[in-house]
Amino acid sequence: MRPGVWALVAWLGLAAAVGPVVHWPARVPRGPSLHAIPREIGPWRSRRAALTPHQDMLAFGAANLYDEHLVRVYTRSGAPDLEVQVFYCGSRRPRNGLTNTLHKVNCLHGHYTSVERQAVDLAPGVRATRLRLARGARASTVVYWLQSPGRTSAQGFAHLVWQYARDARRARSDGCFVKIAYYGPPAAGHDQALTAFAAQMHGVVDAWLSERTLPGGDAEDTESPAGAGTGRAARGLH
Amino acid sequence: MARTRAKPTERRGLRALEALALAAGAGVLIAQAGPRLLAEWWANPDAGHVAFVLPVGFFVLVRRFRPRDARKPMSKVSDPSDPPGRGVGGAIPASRSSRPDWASGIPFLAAGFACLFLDAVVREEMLLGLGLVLAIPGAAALLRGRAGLRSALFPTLLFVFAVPWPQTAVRHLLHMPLQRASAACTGGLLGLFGQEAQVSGSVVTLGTEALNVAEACSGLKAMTALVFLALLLGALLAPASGLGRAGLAVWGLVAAFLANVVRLVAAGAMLRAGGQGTADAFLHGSSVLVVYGAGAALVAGAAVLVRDLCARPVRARAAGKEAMP
Repeated sequence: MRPGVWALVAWLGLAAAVGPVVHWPARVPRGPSLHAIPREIGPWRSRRAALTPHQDMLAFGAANLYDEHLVRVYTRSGAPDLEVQVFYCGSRRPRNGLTNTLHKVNCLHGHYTSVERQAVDLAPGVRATRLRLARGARASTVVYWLQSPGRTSAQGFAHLVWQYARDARRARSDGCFVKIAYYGPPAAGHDQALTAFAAQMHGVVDAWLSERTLPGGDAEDTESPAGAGTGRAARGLH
Repeated sequence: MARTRAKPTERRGLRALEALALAAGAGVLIAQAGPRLLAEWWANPDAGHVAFVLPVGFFVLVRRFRPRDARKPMSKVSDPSDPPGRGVGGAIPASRSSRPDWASGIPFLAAGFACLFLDAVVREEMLLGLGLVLAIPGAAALLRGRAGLRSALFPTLLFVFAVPWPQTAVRHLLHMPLQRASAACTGGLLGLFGQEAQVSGSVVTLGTEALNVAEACSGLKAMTALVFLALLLGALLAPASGLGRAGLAVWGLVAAFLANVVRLVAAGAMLRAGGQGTADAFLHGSSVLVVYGAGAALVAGAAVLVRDLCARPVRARAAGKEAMP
């Protein structure tokens, strides 16, 4: 056999072997579902119904693939009703997992569009993004962030890169996309209430994430539960 | 001790063994990677072109590695100074086929292996696709030497179009800028035609109506298809220079963008004149074919122009040689 052919056959053998030898399954933490998030957060109480029709809920922010999804409306007197959406991905592996783009289904049906984008601080070192959206005369203000254990990002792209690095180190790479919105014209008082609630929600999600743990501890590789975190159980919003 | 030459039957047996070993190795690798790539292409709305890219890529690859006398000329205009391996049908002389080019082949194979290793670590289909694509020139260099590597570069470039890029990155780096640029140009052109259009991000507001340049309308799919077509036409037209081919590919990008903007302008005009129903039927119906047809015509026209421009010096050289005593 010619040496070039030998070398190529050896390369093919190595390339075929590297996947099964090096690959490890996604490490998906287990724990309570998103519905375990308290219905009372400080003075805020939640009710089940969403504020907006389904199509409008898609107006901003969706995790194209996710393992769990929570929608709630939190209310308190003297403040606007706040619609909370939390998407959870068990690992980075659902490859388009968390995203924070305006989600426009069609070109002509008049979806919300971004009018203004601003960074807001939820806590020292914890930054989120505040977005003003408009759809004709209707308006909405959204605060969103991406949250994993030990890291919160205002932008999805940076968070995804961080999740890749976590996954490569065999650490847990799960995360949440959290979106809180009020509908109606922007108002300074409403913005303050929104930011204050978002800061509380950040702590709640942090506590919820810490309750989810890797089975067998950090040192041990674990198989993911059926479908979770691998995209198999994931659902698309559109 | 004198070296004995293998008999033709032994040589044939050895070649068959080589082919069998290569086919077995490639088969195992493809059996592992194929289902993942297929699932990715199936789930990705931007991957429709793969059904065209793969067969064309394999066709070009096979044509380039066929013996020269076993093929028909692909182009009427041919440049005798063109090195072997150029053009869609360029093949490798048999005399150079047996010396592996280690210096070129090993880096390609090493890069391909690095991609496959990283894919095994982070499970990312883009790395898997890149690993397989990089193996093509590496294998060609080891099996057919430098001429083989040259022949494999163009099919490799075509196969890059089938690599599944991460959708998050595509959305941030390609769709969003294209949406905004298309909306800005659409608003500007509508303004030139006397329509009051206000552009905000990717939304063009026309009075009480809004034309929202969504991801599907960013023109990225048309760009992919037309750049691929431009590369193919550039290779089919043998005398086109490297610069001409690169220019043709850039023109493919521009043509796709222009065709998409014209489609959006027409949709905006229809939105004002006929309402949402008319504009919707146009934008998501017949206009898609119009975009691809118009873009393809622009690319084909440019390709003929490039061929003629590049053929002139060749003809002049040939005429000069004939005139010499």
